[in-house]
Amino acid sequence: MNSLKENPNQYNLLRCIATPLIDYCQFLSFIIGMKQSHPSSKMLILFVLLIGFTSCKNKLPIEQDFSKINYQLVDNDNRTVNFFKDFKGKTIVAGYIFTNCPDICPLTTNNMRLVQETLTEDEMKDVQFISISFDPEVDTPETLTKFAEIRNLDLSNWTFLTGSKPVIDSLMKDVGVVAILGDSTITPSGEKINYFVHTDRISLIDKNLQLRKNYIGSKAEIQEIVNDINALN
Amino acid sequence: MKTRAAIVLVTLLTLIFFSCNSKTDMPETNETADQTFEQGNIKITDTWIRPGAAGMNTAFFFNVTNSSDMPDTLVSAESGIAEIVEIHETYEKGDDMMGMRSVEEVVIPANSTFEFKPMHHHVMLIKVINDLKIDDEATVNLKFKNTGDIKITAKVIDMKTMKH
Ligand SMILES: [Cu+2]
Repeated sequence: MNSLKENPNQYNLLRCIATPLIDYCQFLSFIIGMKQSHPSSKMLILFVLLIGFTSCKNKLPIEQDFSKINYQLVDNDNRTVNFFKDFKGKTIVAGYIFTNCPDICPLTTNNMRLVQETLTEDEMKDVQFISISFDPEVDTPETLTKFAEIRNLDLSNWTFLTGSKPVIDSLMKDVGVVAILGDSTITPSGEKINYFVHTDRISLIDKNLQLRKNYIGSKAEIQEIVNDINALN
Repeated sequence: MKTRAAIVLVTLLTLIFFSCNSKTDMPETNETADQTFEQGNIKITDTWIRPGAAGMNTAFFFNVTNSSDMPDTLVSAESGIAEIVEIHETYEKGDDMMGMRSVEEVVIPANSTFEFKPMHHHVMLIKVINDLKIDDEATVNLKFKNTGDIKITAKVIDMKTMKH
């Protein structure tokens, strides 16, 4: 397996470092060749500086095409949603969660909230936050609403999605999110509570429903996501 | 002239490198209640609970300082705020996968502090009885093998304040 492809963040960082390096090799050879104060040398430095800085931006290659993926899901208000189709034209910040999760998924959700709070009103335009449950048997629209409400989340541009189990399973397979049954707890009343071993992920999807970047949901850097959103918008 | 070019080069390279690596390392400081719960050689500090809706799960976090020359062991926890209380750990499974499992007990080594913190260990509150909203307070009883019971209170903290 190609580990760089598996880890786009690492790949982008590598490119981000490599591109300015190449710029500077060229710059150095130019300076050495040029010897002394050439009138255009200041312009050159400015130019190279510009290239170096901008090379860090727009490094959001298309990772996967989500435009052909479409499933009928239901949102936290019990409305039917065509996912991803209904969100075409929005820059999507998607997180994958299950609400019985007490540690990782709240961190992922909180990171999405921090992104939402960091974006200015202007930057927020056309941005849609979506949390998708991979535990639909537990995560009914009502449960998802409670999960959001207890955290005082701003749902004005944030939707929680769930659906039938086969549909959700198929969707997760398509987007590459893995959720395997792990440990469980049996309550005194005999109810079994399942905990999933799952992909810890926030995804950034552009307005044409192209996946542009995956982040490790619980450890995601807020500013990195904000910068990436702004680079796409 | 070559030296100057080299200085400019190094400076610019450094600048670019940091601009590419603009990840700000946000410390996980939190505004936990400034309460300390002490019994024998065990001290509990930095207690806090994540918000959780009635019928759902959440987690309790804290630090344990063992000032004894002997290790002690957290064997269980009890609380009236949830149907079931367990000691859990979060673990990495590779390929960006995360999981959580219950653990029998947690040994607190001699003369050390053990942190029950996000992405590591927590006391799992399963099916909380009532909504645990921000600023609510709850009581949890921690049972140690040597020290015995330590009753603590913890505040429900908004995670918003976790990262600044
Ligand atoms: Cu747990």
